[in-house]
Amino acid sequence: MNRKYFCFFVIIAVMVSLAGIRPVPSNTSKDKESIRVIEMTITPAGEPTEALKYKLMPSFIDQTPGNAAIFYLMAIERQPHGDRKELRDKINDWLKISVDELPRQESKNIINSFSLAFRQLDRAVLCEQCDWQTPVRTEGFSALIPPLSEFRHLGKVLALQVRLQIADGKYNEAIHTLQNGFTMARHVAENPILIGDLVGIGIATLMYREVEQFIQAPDSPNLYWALSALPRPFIDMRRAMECERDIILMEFPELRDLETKKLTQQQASTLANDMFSRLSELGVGDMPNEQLGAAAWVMLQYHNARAYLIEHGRSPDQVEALPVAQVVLLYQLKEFIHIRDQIFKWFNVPYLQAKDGLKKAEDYFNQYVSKTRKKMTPNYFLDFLPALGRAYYLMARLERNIDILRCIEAVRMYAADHNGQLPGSLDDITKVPVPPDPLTGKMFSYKIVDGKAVIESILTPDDDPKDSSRYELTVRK
Amino acid sequence: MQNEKDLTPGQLELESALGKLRPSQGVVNRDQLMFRAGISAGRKRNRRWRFLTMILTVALGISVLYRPTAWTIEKNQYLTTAPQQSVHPLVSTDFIRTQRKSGYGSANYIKLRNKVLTDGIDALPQRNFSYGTTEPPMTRRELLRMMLST
Repeated sequence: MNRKYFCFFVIIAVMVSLAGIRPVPSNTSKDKESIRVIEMTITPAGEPTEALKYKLMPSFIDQTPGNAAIFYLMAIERQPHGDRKELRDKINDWLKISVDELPRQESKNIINSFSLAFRQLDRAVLCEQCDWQTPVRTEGFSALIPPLSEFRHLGKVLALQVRLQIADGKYNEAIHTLQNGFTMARHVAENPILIGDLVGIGIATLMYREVEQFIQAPDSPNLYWALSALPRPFIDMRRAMECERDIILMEFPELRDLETKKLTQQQASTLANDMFSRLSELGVGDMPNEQLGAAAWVMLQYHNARAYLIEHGRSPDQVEALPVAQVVLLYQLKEFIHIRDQIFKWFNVPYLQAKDGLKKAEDYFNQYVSKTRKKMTPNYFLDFLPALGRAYYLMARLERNIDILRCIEAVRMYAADHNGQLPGSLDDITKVPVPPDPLTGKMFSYKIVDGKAVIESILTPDDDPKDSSRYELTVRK
Repeated sequence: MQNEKDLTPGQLELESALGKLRPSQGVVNRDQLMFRAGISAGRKRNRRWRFLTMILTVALGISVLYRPTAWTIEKNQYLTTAPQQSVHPLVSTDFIRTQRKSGYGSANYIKLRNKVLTDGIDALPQRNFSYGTTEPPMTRRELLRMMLST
């Protein structure tokens, strides 16, 4: 009988362990793979006769009054019906292979199924404005945001369309589709919240990778001035940062007049209880002592809060006249604003100048959070702050991607003027300015290796090698 | 009871013959009976265990051959909370506080934002099915004709 029990449990154990096996998803965003190498066979291409003939954003003259958001939502509505996952996986695979390997008919069928959606996109990108009307000022974090993942999906389909057009040699159509993609990226980033900017950067990145394909296509026109004409910074995060900076006051409007208003004891306690429970609901950060409740949280902080307010200009009598809860909330708010502004101020200078100061401010922030949590006196408002250094880096990285492509187009221009010869160094290129790397302030690394021109950005400590690129250019014979 | 002196010779003889009788041995011995009962009970239990083991083995084989696909838990990106309130900018903060409910929507935005910052836009929740229409939209004329005919 013991043997039978043993067999039974062995079987159960084996079943449970086998049923629990799932394929482990690869987290490529964290893998430290080697740098991305793109081998390009380029055709020399000079400046077009009409230097600004090609554009990657619609011209002013072609734009129409109107709100693009309406047409974007209609485009989403008009996407083809069906299994999205299979389609997504297919497109992801095709965007990894070269233009020549693309299964033409199958990809054309997919693009054709999006014709209704693209018709709306064509109208959207020509609109002068894009107002998503996100009610973030009145609703804070709860505001309904547009379906951002839908735009990312549309961006991938557009990227596929560009690739197909390049494969067919339809360069003008490819440029038109690139216009749609780049414009959509900026329009999505018109959302006043940070996540909208991040999606905009993602869509712009999809498009810049198709520009890489375009540059390699035989006899493709030179896009130096088209890339130079793109608005800079392409995705400007300052408006989103303004919103993120004050979103806590939008979420907790009671804090706006806390400094000037004198609450009663009852009002202050109610406010503290209410805020504490809402912070718990929001579930931001780690709240190990949430069981203590608002009253305990207030009492733990009061001594520090009182000292802080006296140190910062109030008399002891003024502080003692305020309810205990108000003193603590005021202290938390002022500390939060101080630390917040130490970080946010760096968004007002270019990334290259900001990055060291931003890092110091974020290090101070992390140390402050760690110290106060150990003492059981955390400032929960600080949990609302995003990783701003990372956000700013992503914006700057997009700028670098655009500039390195300008550099490559400058090389193609030189080669066109010098019978297909590659420049010995970037200083040899005098017809157009060669941009520096905005992340380092230095010129991109350029050297000739075995007859190939190798252009790459010098890695910074923030760079993930997988996200950096090395371009190896060979002139097509 | 009758007095032995009252018995007839025949009765006495019968009495003597009956006295010589001994109870016969049982066909089944008690120990044997208990032993056999135990075996029978064990066999029934064994059959049940064997049957169960067989079922589990078949299930194991099926689970090895057929792996269900991973569930994708679709996180609804639409941050739904209380119905949208249009708030007049001069409305007191008390009113705003009582009207607005934070909760799932608010926490979802913060977590989503932080995840996208660390993992990129692929961290955005994605729909696995599109409910768009494959029919081209009606033209104005078709729509008018349809509405006028009903």
